[in-house]
Amino acid sequence: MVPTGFAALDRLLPAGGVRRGGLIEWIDLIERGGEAVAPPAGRSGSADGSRCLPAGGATALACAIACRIAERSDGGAIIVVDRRGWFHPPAVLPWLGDRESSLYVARPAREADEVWAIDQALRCPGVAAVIGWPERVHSTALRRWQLAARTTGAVGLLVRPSYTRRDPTWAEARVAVKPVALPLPVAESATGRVAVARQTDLAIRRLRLALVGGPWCGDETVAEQQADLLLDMRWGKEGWGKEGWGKEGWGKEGWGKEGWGKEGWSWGREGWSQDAGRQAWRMVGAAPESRQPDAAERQRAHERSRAGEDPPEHGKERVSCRAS
Amino acid sequence: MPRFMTIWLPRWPVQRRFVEQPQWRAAPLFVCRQRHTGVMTVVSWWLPPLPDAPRGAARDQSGGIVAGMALAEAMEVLARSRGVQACRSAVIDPDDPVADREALAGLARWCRRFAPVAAVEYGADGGREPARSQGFQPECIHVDVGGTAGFFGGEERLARLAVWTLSGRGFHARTAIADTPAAAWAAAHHTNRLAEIGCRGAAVSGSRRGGGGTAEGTPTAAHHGDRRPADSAVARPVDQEGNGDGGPGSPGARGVSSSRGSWPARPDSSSRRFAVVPAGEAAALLAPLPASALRLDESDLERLAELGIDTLGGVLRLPRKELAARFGTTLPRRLAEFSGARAEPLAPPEADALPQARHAWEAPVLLRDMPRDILERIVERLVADCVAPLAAAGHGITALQVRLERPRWNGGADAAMAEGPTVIDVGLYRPSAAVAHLTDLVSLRMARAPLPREIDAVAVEVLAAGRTTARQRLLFDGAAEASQAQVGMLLDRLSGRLGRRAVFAPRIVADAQPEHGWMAAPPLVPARGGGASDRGPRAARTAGERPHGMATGSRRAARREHRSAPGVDWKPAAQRRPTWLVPRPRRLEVVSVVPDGPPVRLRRQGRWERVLHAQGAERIETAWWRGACVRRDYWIVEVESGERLWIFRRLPDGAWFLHGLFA
Repeated sequence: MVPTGFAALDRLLPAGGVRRGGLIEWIDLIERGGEAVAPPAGRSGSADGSRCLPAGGATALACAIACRIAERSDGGAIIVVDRRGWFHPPAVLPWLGDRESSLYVARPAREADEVWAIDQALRCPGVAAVIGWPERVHSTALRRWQLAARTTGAVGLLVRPSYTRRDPTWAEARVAVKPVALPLPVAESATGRVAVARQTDLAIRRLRLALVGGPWCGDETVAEQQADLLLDMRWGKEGWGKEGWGKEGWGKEGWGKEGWGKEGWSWGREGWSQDAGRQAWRMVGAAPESRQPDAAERQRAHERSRAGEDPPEHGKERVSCRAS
Repeated sequence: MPRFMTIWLPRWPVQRRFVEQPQWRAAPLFVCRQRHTGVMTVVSWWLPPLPDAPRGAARDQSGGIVAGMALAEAMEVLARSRGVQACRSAVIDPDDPVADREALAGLARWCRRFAPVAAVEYGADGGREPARSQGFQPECIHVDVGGTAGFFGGEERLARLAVWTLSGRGFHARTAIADTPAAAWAAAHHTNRLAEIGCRGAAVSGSRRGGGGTAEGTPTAAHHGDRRPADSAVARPVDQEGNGDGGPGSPGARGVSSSRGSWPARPDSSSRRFAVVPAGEAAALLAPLPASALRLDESDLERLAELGIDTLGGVLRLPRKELAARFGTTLPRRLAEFSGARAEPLAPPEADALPQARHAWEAPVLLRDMPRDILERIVERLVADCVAPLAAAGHGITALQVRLERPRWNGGADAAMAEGPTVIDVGLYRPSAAVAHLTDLVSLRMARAPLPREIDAVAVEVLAAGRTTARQRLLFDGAAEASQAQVGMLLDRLSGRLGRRAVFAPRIVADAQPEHGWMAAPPLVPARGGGASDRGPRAARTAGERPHGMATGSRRAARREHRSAPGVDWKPAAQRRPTWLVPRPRRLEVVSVVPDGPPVRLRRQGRWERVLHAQGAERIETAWWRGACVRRDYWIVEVESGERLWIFRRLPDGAWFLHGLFA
């Protein structure tokens, strides 16, 4: 059992971490790359064209977890099975550090080849983690993958399209991922508070995770099955808030029951609805009680982030989703 | 009755390079050597055929360039004849006589399929030939075909087969069969002249008939052998390897026939590629050839020219007694070798023979009647036979070739091999002696390859072998090395089914342009203890180190990352590269407050979205001397929905593009 390195995710997963020898499915809620990118021209004509382009942070999270698993397994290889062909390794190679040579990429052209490649990779004893984006997979193939992983102890991290969220699965857990925009710094002006878009160092990424159940679950998601985490894109590890992300911005008053209601997490046609999220922000911005962190607190947070310390213990400065 | 076949590979250094780098055929090539004075001299050269040269014309390959002239002089001649563009595109390669010799030895071993004894020629006195300083460069292979010609259906068929199979491998060769190696050497170097002599009085027709080229005329002494009617009517054997012959001076470089890969359609040259000198008639037939056909020294040739003797016949008629006194030892020796009085021993290359095994059936077998596992078991047995001697010496197989040979169609004319065999090449990243693994790879390939209808034999040949690391098994094995080997085998299997280019290990290259910022390296599984990371050359740095346009925190972060000496080992920062890279950047509509400033709004699929955060600008400029200059300002933007995009603004015209997604 390998802890993922993200405390929130560890609490979500049933085993308290990633269990070796199993699969984990990720469902990225931003499919089609936000529809900015049409299906790839070269392959869309054939039956094997990829229609789904997950662009919401699930891939980065999966890669970070894979790096963590490879660290712990002391020399295991990471195999990326990339049928679409758009995977850009320089995003992930720096996270491996010295073990840059343990990342291998395979590019099958057909779906059958992709299924076979993932199967072969999971069967190999020297492989620590397999990352893939399979779309239409028969459940027998999934079962075969799970058995292969169980014999060798490899971990399969598969990012699936959202229409599979209700399918029965052989994976240990199915986690839905959605990116959340960083809070806008608010500035006071003569006419009131105004949110200012400012260039920032986008090293930290905020992701919202939720455990997705099988077909027996309704559309509701329980608050305990949700979590927020911060992914530090520089090292693929958990990040923590910097100046401006102090407790006040993420405090409980912003995340009360109103923000976490069903309407914020509905699985409607539009996917995650963002209205409740915006409402929550509006609440934060308009609440007169919320104060800016004072200079001392800001300085402390700044020092901490600069020194590269370990994040403070959980619950103090970062988001806690538990209604406590 | 001893008979020898000589295979001459003209301009062997150039031919060897062409086989390794076929793209060099399109441009002039100079193989040069640096002399002790520091001057580069041309050892061998190649000029691609001019596109507008008429097909039937004899192409002037020399163009005024002679071996031994200085490189600068040769380039000058090239510039005069072909223009400065040809000079710019010329490829200059240093001479490598050791590699040439080894490759020729390998080819000689391959020629053992014609006869058991095949050897590379060696120079007079075992060494120096004044024409080329610093050693003799062999270009011919002598094969002793005394008793084996009958297996191929006659000497002429054998000679033609040799030319044909070598052209199938990409070599341009000329062969001749005669009584002695010296006579065969002379005949092979002058097959043109022999053809002209033989064809005197007979019109060379366009179709290929009877020995190729000599039409209705009487079968000449130089091309004896049965005249086969309807030669060209038979479907020409399709070459398995693609191009027909592609050697220097060959017509196969263009034309429809070469694209189909069959024998070249020019009858004239095909008739001049091989010659058979009947027994006892060497002196008579080869008399008109020039005296250099005897492999004499230049000084001897000059002296003979002074005496007015240019032809071989003239040299043969000289009285032998005074030769030794006047000409030294070389000339009498060559004459003795020519007439057969002195034997010229052939020294086959060391038996570095890689094992091969073959299983043949008595009658051709239809593949659809044979269950697949029987074929696999046969292949497994052959592979085990090949692996056994290697494994005993601690070697493993790195490259393997399995050939499914089709039956020879004896009914047809001119079909020594009706169709070429189906060849399956298997390559491994690490030498392996595991029979099961090799058979697995072969069966993966066989499942994909188009198999012939019926086969006659299965042959397995080891093309390359390497040393395997011996591992002593421990009782409580840590399984670390075992897992490395397993990963290697997994990569072999993946590349066997997906293709060798579809499996790779990515490496970051210190190139500013993101499309070229990483390369796909062959996935060699490193030894334990970590792999070496690539240190790329110093490349253009991005503006990540310039304080322009970056917030304070990130500048500090940038300084932290580049703590090592800047410029020596440049890599892009981890968070600055997206996970998905769009292969072709897509056009976007972006609104920014200031033309050079950060984007404020984006338009995607017709909807305007607000940009919440933008990090940048990372200016990437590629070197102007590298060609098309790329100047872009990259921004990482976070949109309202939380997505992060990697967009850039093209600097010359300010157009915005989407280049990546942070997935």
